Amino acid sequence: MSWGKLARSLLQALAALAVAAAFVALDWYPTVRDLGRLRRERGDWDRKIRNYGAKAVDLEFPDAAEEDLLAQMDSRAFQALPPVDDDAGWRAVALTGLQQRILLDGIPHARFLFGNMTDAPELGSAGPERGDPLRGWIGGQTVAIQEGFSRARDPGRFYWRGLLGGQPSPCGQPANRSVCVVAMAPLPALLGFINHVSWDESRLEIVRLHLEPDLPHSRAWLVCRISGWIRGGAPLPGGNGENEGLRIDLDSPLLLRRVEPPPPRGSERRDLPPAPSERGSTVGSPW
Amino acid sequence: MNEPDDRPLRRRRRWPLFLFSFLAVISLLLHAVRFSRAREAAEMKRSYGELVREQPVAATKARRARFHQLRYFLDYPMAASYAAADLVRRLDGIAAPLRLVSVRIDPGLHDMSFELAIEADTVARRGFDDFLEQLGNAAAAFDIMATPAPAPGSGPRLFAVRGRVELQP
Repeated sequence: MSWGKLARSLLQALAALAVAAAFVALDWYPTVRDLGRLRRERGDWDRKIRNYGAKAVDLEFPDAAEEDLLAQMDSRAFQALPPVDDDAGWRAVALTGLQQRILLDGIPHARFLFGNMTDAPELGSAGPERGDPLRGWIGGQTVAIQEGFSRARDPGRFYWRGLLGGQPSPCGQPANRSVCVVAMAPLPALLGFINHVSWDESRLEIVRLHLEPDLPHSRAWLVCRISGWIRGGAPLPGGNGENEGLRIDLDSPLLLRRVEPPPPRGSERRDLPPAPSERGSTVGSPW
Repeated sequence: MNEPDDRPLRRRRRWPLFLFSFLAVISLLLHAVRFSRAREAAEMKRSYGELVREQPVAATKARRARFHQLRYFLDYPMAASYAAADLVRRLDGIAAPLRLVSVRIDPGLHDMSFELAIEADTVARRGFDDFLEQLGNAAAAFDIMATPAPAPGSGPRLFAVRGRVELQP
């Protein structure tokens, strides 16, 4: 074999190798890489389908009755909050229910503070002619009551922001204000009033309660939060729309079952055990 | 008459074609397999999407979670009021012979913290430990913390007791 032929054969072999290498590098390798990716992708989807199927087997899907319940609960929650226009509206909503409640529970002396300490109308059933035994006591509690107001205004303690915020409502945006109720009565009546304070439409939510038991009358102040829909007013401060504070475990078995109809309205109202009607002495507890 | 002698030469000249064809066939096979796998993956993705649409597990759970949250929200004010009033009632019931001076209650989302001011005279101080025990039993309080036990021989003394109780709407 001549040197020329040998060189030509060598060049041909190199050219063939170059072509094969080009195939491998430019076509086979990317294709094989894609094959691996697609195999993993197919495995992932397969696993997802199997897992989803297993989850779906455990879950009771909603029937028509449950669909109704779910829709009713949303509208019930929206209807539960009163619509207000401004601060006068908040005051009216809170005062209307409180005035009635104080009379129903037989609270002889009560006052209502709305946000600041200067506005404190007398609400008690005893009437103004019986004097104002609460005035001096409120003065001594001013700092503590203001601390209560600060607590009520803290957006981090408004647990329903995420639940109510971001929901379309014809009534406006969810908002809240704080009020303070000061009351003086015999302890059983006072505790009955504290228990009933959230029964009215204003749904007062106790944020802080301070009570001083005494005879014959005990005294208490309650800083409460009142929530409502405000039309074009100040919305809830801060927050990112998540259910801050009120969370539910999405893996809970509770969510696999259909929801039960809530008890009829009013059934959640419970009265305290009655205190004995006659007390043997003037010291100690009526219970 | 030199035709038979040319055949190996022609075969030798055609080998690049054979090589290229071989490489191309392998490529073709690989592409066919890739196409088939891509179609399978797309089909599975579509099946998963249909499954999620037809059996919306996450959406159903989210709606039920909202139902329970709204129910909690609706029941909470009354539950908090009842729990606060009932706690004071229980405290008042177990306080004697100590004197309950004041009660402060801060309802939280799932429990309530409380702070009591208790006055005990020299005789009643022996009942202070009983009161703390009763606080755990009768009032179902936990995380109870109290100021240190009083020294004997001094006059009436005020104690602070802190704790928490469950709140169950």
